[in-house]
Amino acid sequence: MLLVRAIQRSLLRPQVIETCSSFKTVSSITPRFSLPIRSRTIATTPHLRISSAPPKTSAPTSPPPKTPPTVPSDPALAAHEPLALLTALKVQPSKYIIVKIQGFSFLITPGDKVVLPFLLKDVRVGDTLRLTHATTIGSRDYTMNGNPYIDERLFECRATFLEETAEPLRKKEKKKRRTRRIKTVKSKHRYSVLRIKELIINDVPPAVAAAAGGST
Amino acid sequence: MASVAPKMSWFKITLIRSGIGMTERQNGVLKALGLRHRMKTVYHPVSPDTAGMIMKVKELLAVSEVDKPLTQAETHAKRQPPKGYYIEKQGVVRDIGGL
Repeated sequence: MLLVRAIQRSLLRPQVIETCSSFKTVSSITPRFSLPIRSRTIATTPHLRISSAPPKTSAPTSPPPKTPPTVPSDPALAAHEPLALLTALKVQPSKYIIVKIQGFSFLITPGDKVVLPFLLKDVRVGDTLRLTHATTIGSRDYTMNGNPYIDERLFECRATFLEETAEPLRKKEKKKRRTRRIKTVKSKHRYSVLRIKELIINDVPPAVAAAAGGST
Repeated sequence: MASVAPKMSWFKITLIRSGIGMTERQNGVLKALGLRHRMKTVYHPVSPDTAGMIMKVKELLAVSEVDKPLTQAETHAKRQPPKGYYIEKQGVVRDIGGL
């Protein structure tokens, strides 16, 4: 029911796809879509908002599945366009993700070495981190935006904590005019270095699929 | 203190304009309210005394009524961005030592 209202709202307020016009070859099949707000209690029904072309008007011919669906052959999923596009994004050869760590955004791909401009004080060298707050996952042809974050269950992004390091010592001399006194300020900022190990897009969890299929 | 159930009984006061350049009296009021710097948020019970103090410096404040005051630690925690990660698996070395 929530989803039907959302669809009605999106139809009343036509959204402009500003950036998709740049993808001339795939402009007809590259809408941008939003996925559920990341919530702490996974039991709540996620609110899917379609921020692009209106969905197919024909109702799905098959009833919502009782068993966990197998993607992509599931008819309820195929009828729900954004979740079907998730499958298309999943099979793309190379993907990127924009994560937020302590409020800072980083655009990363698997294999990257990320030097964070701060130290993660609760992590030690060798720890495996799971990055949870993603604002965007994309590939050459598709982009998935979160609102404001992408549901944690839809992706897995792991990083290894490589080292705690620091910049070279830099000194700043401060001196006022007509005075001989020179004040020296030392700076040596500490940094953390991560290696992004993997970025996996999961199959749509049954709870999300059922909510989408049941609402339409 | 007699309390009625869903009654908003606290002022949430945030200093959004600095007290620099204000009169001694106004700065005295800010000090009495506990507003040391800009964007600091304090909670005071709703009373004529507090209301009078707010009226003295009302141009500098953003005020709203809430039913539950937050502690300084809770207010600070609300303003922090999410960490964005959690430790899934700990490495072997926990303490390098000597650093």
